[in-house]
Amino acid sequence: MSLHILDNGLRIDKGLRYAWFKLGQDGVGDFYRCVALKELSEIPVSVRDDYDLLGKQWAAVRGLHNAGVNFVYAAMGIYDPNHIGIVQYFGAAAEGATEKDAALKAVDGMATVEAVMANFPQSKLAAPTPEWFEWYLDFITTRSKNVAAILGHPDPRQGKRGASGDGTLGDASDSDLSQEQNEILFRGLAKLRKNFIYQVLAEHVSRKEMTKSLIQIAQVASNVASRRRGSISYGFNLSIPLMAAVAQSQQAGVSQGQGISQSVQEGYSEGWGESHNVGISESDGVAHSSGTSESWGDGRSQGTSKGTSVSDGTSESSGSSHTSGSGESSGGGWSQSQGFSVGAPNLGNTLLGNIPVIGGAIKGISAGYNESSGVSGFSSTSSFSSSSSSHSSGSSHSEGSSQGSSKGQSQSHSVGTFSSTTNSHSEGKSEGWGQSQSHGMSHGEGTGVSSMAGRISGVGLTGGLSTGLMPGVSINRSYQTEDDVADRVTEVLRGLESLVNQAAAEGGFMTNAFIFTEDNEGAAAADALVPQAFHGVSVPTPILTIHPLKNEEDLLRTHALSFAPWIEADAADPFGGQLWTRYATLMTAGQLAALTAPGLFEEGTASTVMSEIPQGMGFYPNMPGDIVLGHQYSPETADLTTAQVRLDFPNLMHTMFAGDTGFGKSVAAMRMLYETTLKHHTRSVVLDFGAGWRSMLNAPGLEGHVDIQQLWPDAVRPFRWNPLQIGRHISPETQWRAFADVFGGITQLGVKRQKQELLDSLRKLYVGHGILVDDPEVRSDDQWGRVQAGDESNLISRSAGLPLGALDSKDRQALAVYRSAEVGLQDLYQTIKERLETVPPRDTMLTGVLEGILFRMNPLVQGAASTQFAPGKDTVPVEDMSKPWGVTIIEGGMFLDEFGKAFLLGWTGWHLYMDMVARRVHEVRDEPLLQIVYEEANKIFSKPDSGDEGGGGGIAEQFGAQFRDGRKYGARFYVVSQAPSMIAQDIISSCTNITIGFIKNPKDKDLVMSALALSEKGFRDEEWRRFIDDIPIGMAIGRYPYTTIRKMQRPILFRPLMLDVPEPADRDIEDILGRIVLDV
Amino acid sequence: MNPAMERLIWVVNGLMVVFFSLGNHFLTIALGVSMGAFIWFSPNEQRDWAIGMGVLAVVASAFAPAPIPIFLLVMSLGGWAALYMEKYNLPATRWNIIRGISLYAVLGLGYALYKGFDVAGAIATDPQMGQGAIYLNAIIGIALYAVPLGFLVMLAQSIWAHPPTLGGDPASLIGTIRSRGKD
Repeated sequence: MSLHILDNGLRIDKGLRYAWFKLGQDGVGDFYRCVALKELSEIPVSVRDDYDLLGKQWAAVRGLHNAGVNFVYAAMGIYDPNHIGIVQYFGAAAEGATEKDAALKAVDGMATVEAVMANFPQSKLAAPTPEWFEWYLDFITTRSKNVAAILGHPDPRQGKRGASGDGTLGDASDSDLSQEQNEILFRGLAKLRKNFIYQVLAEHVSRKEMTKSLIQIAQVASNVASRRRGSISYGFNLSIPLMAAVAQSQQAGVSQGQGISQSVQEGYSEGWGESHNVGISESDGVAHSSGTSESWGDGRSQGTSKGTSVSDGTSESSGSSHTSGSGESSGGGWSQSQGFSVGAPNLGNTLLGNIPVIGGAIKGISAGYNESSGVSGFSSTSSFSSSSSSHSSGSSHSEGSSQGSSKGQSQSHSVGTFSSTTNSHSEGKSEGWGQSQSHGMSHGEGTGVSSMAGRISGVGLTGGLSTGLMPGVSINRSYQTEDDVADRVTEVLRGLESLVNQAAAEGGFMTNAFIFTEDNEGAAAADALVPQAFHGVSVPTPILTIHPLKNEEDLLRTHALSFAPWIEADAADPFGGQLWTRYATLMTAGQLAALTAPGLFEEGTASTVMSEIPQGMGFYPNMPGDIVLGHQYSPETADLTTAQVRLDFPNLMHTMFAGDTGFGKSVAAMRMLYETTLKHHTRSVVLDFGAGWRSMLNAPGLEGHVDIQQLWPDAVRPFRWNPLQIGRHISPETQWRAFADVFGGITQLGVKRQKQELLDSLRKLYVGHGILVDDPEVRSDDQWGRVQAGDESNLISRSAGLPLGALDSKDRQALAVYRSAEVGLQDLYQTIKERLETVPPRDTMLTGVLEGILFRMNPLVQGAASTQFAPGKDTVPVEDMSKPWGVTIIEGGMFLDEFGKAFLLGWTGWHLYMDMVARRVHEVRDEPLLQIVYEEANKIFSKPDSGDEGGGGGIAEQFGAQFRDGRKYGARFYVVSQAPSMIAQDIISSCTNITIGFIKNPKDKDLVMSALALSEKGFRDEEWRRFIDDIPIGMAIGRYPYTTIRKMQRPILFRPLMLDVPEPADRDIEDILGRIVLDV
Repeated sequence: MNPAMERLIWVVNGLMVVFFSLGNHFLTIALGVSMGAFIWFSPNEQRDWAIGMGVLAVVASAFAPAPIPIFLLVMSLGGWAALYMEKYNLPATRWNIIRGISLYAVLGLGYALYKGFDVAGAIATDPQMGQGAIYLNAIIGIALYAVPLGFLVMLAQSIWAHPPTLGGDPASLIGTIRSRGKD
């Protein structure tokens, strides 16, 4: 049956949608066949360890059968010209009278295939790469030199039987499925670097057809199976029956016979004789005659005559004779008879009493035929002798008269008379002698025919009763016979029966599997690898490869190219194509699964070693709230969904954003800050070590509510700030103590004494400038213990000279702020330096302590920074940032060292928070929520080193308290870090919410594992640990457990919504916000 | 008489003797040929038994009264038919033939002795066995017909008990399924 490709093409729609072929087939006509394919791009690594890989594919194929899909699987090994590796296609094929019909079914089938392949959690199919699909078509048609068909039944099991040996359904459990199938084939050919294509076309076979096949095979198998066992017995039995019987018989008959006999007789005789005779004779006679005659003429005549005669005579003779002879005769005969008789006896009309017993109702008819023949013969011999004499005498007398008359008509007349007399006498004598000889022969034949007919009838009645008791003797031995030939045939047939039974139950496909190879080496390797990969121990036809006849090779390529199955039955097929065709085999879903399971072969386009989304990931399609962070991924399919990640503003908590640099943690934080600020008009401050947040300036809806300030002097908008200036609402003593704590913590002053020395120096400085307005030393100071004339008096509108104790706290605070504006880091540096100069040279420890402090302060008090962060009237009141609502971004830039930036940003945060706290306590309750984003928070909230003997290093206690209490005072903090393990535990503990990107540091993983409510120790939740450093850009894990609904506390996987706005350059910032010029 | 003619007559007469003798012992000779062929085609492990069967059958056919010779021949021909038609287990079928013909040959020889030595008459005159003789005769008479009939029935059963199967003989069927035409 010839197949021709009349036309073909590809339909592209954002990738290959389907390939179409217009085909012509003898006896069928023209039709279209379309195939839709997708390329396997991802399959999680856990599938490789999943013993049930084949079980899942098995289930998938079962589903495809039910959906009526013609399943297509293909794998390419591309090693030349480019080393690509294995490319796997999954798809569906369909036929139709038009391209549209066929394509519709093929595309629907492809969707079905994609759906069932989702059975491998989080696997992904993508549109085929055009260049590789082109290679595919080219290889089948031109490049491949060899093609082989894969026949037989694969068995994906490791050890147990597949097909049932007794024809029942096979073992349906999948506990012993092997882990690798086509990977073995791929690996072998990959080792040789041989290009190949492995193609499987599975045509759906209806259950109705398979059921018919099942019945046929079951019939054949049962016939053979019944031969397998039997019995032989040899026995001898002797017994006397005990019976009582009355028998009545009737008989009637008719007979007829025919007979025929024949006889033959031959005779022969011979005789000899002599004779002598003498005779004398004498005679006398007188004769007298008279007559008259008269006649008349005239035409009439009449006449009369009359005469008389008398004679007398005598004679005498005598003689004698003698004869003798002999004779023989012989003869024979045969006879033949035949006849028949028919009888109708009423046999065995046997009664036991009045009860009919066996045979009682039987009437019999007998017929007979007889035939006989006989042959007989005889012979005889005879002789004879005889003599005789004779004498004879005689006399004779004779008289005669005559009278006559006549009439005539004439004219004449005459009359006449006559008369005469005669006398005579004679004598005579005779004598004779003679001899005689005779010969005779005789022949006789006889035939006899007989026939007879007879008719008989009779009635008989017999009765008898016999009783007795006799022992029975029985000797018997029986043997069980077995026929292993029948066993083997039964085994094979029942294997087929089981196979079809299974196929009829779960679905079966007539499967064409081809392997195309580029050269003979590849072909030979494929011949070996195919059984190695797919062979099973208990299948009717083991997996084998067969190379097509030369005259069929081109046709086979046509079938493969057009994804059309070979449907022509094999001539030697006793089942007429129901179980296989020449190049195809009927397979169960499980067997087809063995051929088509996704090859977990990493050397190729499909990723097979990536972690899957671990179990336990949640999915919340209806999260409450209006703060949209992104869209959730399905934990089942790993596909991005439209389900939003939402947070409820009232339940907003401190949040940590952890992830390695570049993986999008700031994107998530930015979205969160944008959403909250825009929708709830919060005060948001971003403490950015770099310059990554400035795109907020272009965020829609925040126009006019975004400020940017920068920590380097030549910036567009340098942050002009005096860190030692007391905040307007912060107690001077609080700030004094906090400074030492925060600076020491952030700059990691190594020993407690450093903080103490810093605290002492700052106190000395603050006391020396009257800033600690509540300090007794200041109150008692002549100068600073009173309100000074001038600016101070004017500032608080109180009279000069008034003791500080007489002022209320607000005025004292105002004085402290004012006085602190004159004190800067440079002063503190100088104070410490002076202190250092008083240290005895031998006190190396104190010297080191003080030098360490000075070392940390150097970047802030030297160079341009000394101006930017110097005291002055033009400094920015940090506590007013982002008022009334909006976003302020403080960029760290590259100017300062990390410690310097960390201190400035951390100290800014502290100021903002403490100002908020102070005002919350004393003044306002309705102020917008304060949000502070700590970028690179590990530099600010550094965890103390465990080996720090002095114990002075580590996070400022201020920050611990800040995070613990911030929620009460309307502040929320966002900790952004790529090294969360370096962040102090206080901070981590306070971050209820967490958003995680790619993290690879083990300690960081431990931390986020704990934050995700997972076990960070041991092997439990190990898949989460692997997953955390296996997530790509744009994917994040979020856990937002501050809820009363427990089920909402699971982590979710989502893609943060990127704030897709352009990042402003310095010129843009200047244009929008204006330039800040430092008053140097 | 012409010596040549005389010689011809002798030869012809001799041949006629042979032919007539053959004719008179046709059943035995045909049986012998059949047995010879059977022995020739028997597998090694059964050949000795087949020879024994052949000897017994030929001797029984030669010396036992009717109907034993004709039944032996019929059994032999039935065996060939079974071998031709029954493909599943030729050794078992051959063995069935061997034991069936052997058994009947032994029965035939026994019957020949029984009849030749007038054992029936001897038993009949024994008051103790008088009735048994009738019974024994009946049994023997039945056995002479029942045994070959049973044998033929057994062969027929092995042939016709099962409908013909697909795919020819077992080797072809298994080969087709297992190899799909591949050498």
